[in-house]
Amino acid sequence: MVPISDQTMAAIEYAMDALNTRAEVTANNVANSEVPGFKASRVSFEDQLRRALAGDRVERIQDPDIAGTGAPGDAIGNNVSLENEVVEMMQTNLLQQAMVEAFNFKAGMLRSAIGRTS
Amino acid sequence: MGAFDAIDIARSGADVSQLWLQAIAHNIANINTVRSADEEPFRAKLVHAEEVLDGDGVGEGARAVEILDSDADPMVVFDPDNPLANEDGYVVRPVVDLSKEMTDMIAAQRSYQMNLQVIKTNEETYQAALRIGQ
Repeated sequence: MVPISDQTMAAIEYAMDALNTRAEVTANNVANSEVPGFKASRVSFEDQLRRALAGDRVERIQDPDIAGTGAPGDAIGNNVSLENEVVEMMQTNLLQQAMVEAFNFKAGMLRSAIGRTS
Repeated sequence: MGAFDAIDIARSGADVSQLWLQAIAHNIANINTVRSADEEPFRAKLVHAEEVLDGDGVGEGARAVEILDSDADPMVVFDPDNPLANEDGYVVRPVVDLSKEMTDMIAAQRSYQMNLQVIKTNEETYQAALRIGQ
């Protein structure tokens, strides 16, 4: 394996991609929060990532799961909870930023390894 | 789907909320639109919205499909002095339920605000992504 794109880098890349999908799905839930019959969805990728990291095969990890929340619907058959979506959105935003920091940290380590100081 | 999809998705939601607010404003503006009982009454406008799916069945926003007229029963009132009254002295009141319009307005406004919040938060996320490697 090329040392520059190791397991950590691959995991960060995968997580950022999955978080991007999660942000889109959350945006879609909010956009449809008043549409009759619409059902909210959630993206889950943490379990896949954990399993992949344990098995040392991050490159072959499957795409994140998108599944309905299964929450009961309201009078118009819509089950979007705006509070949950806001929390989801904030968490996704923070995780995404943490991933950027992690990536930059790792890149900084590689830079020092090849003898550059910044 | 492009690079900043979450923002486009939220914009589609804000568009639908905006259209809904317009329909509500139109309905409330016509709360006193009385017509002759021989004519079709003013009917509240309802926005029919639905989810937009891409080829893989993944949601990519909301859109307004059509504007519908409320099909509630109109109220015909006896008002012989009204110049609009028909030969028997009847006029028809507009089919607008004010309490429904007011509660819808709250929902539409919240939905609009929430979509703008989604745009704002995701803009922050994309800004963070631009710091990769810096």
